[in-house]
Parts: sequence; C-alpha cells; structure tokens
Amino acid sequence: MIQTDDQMLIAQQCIANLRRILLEARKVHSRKDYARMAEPILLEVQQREQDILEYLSSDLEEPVAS
Amino acid sequence: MRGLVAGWSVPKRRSGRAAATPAETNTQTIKLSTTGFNTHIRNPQTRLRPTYRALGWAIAKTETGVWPICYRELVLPKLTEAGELPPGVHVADWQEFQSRFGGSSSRRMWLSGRLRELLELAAGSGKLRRVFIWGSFVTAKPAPRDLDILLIMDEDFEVEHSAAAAQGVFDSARAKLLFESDVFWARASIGPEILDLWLDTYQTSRSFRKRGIVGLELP
Repeated sequence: MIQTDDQMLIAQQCIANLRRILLEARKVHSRKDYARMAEPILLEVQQREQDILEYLSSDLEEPVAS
Repeated sequence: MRGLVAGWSVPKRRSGRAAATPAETNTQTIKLSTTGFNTHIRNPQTRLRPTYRALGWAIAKTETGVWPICYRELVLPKLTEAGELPPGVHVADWQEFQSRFGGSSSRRMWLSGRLRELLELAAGSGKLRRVFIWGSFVTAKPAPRDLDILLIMDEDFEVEHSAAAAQGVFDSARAKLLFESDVFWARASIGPEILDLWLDTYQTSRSFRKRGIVGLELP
C-alpha cells in the first residue's frame, strides 16, 4: 500500500519498467508465448496501478497548524 | 558435496592490472566438478554479487586459453534486520539454497518440494538457462505465502514444444494452482539489459523496501 508521494513515484517507475519489459518481450516471443509470459506481468502492472489510484484518490492529510 | 563455482577475477589484464570486480571484465564462471570444467560467460551487466566463504586458485583450460581462476564456495549473505536478503542478486547452488530456505518449517519444506518439481519440469525441456527467486520464500518468514520465480529460457524455447506436464509451468494460472508459484518467464533473447531491469524492479518489494534476489545455479 502506498503511503507517501515518494512511494508513489517508485511504484510509477516500477510500472514503467514492467511496460518496457513487455515491449521488448513482444519482439522476441511468438504470439502465443508472449500472451503466456505477459500475463503475470500485466497483472502486476494492474495491481500497481490500482495502488496508485487508491493513493491518489485517498483523502489528504489535515495540514498541521503552525 | 557442496559445489565449488569459480568466481571472479579472470585476470584479463587491462592497462597492466588485473580486473578487480565483475563489472570491470567479462567474467567467466567455471564450474569445478569431478567431471571437469563447465564454462559460460556472464554478462557483466547482471551485477551478480558473489559472496565468499572459501577462496582458492586453480588453472582452467577454456576455448579462449588457459586462465588462472579464483574459485569460491557459494554462500548466501545474512538476512537484514527486516528478515530479507540485502539488495542484489545473490548466487547460490541448490544445496546452499535448500539448506538456507528449504527446511526450517513444514510450509517451507512443502514449497521447496513444489519448487524442485517445477524446476525439474522446466529443465526437462533442456532449455532452462537461469533461475531467479525472490519474495517471501527468501526471507525469514517461517510460513511463506508462495514462490516468486523468474525462469530464463533458451532463445529458441517454445512452450508448445515442451512436454504436456511442463507446459503448466509456463501458464501463470496453472502454475499458481499446481506449484503455489508466481512464475515469470522469458526467452534469454530479451537481453541482459532488460533482465537487469526486471531483476531491479523485483528488488523493490510491495512495501517499497529494497531486498535481495537469489540467482539459483543450475546443476
């Protein structure tokens, strides 16, 4: 679960990495094998994107009064 | 008997000095066994982190000449305070891996059996090149949830050419059911840069801690 902005940026970077892996994998696997090997990675992308959406849609913390 | 695997420092001299780290040279790994030498070249980009217990020197004859080699006994590093391997890809043979993570609880013994069967099926194709394991199984947790595995297969590997039983390994849903494993796999032709990216990505846990991955030496 993402709790800070920094963690959200890390999650975004992970998603970018996984997308790059998939782009490269498309070039070197047959269609059927790509579908098989991409499945768990796509699931991972989906889960991490969901984490980001949950974080971005969560309530802001109350600012600390100075 | 614990396997001895040659380590770094194939002294391909550059500027009159021996290369000191894997990153500085094309590292040549040479497996020492009673049957002789089995050699392959590691790409220096994979950033493998060797850990030493015993060191020694030997002479190896390879296709490219005669090399003095430094050999090591494989040892996984201590777990961090968080109960995880320190960041990096840590190489271990099956015996080392098994003794460290495979037998301390009934859950671990069971998962270890699943892993062995999975690897035997994957290797049955003759095209299994590299294996990486991360996640809760390579932590201090007595009851890991599942196995997280990356299999790198030969460049001409096709799932459909594998035995029927082995095909389940490369189908993520079936692998989850049969082996309680999240199995990721790819052909080696994705290249070392993408493999590095993959390993780097999975060194970040879902709780955003950097943790280590085990690179399992194949027999």
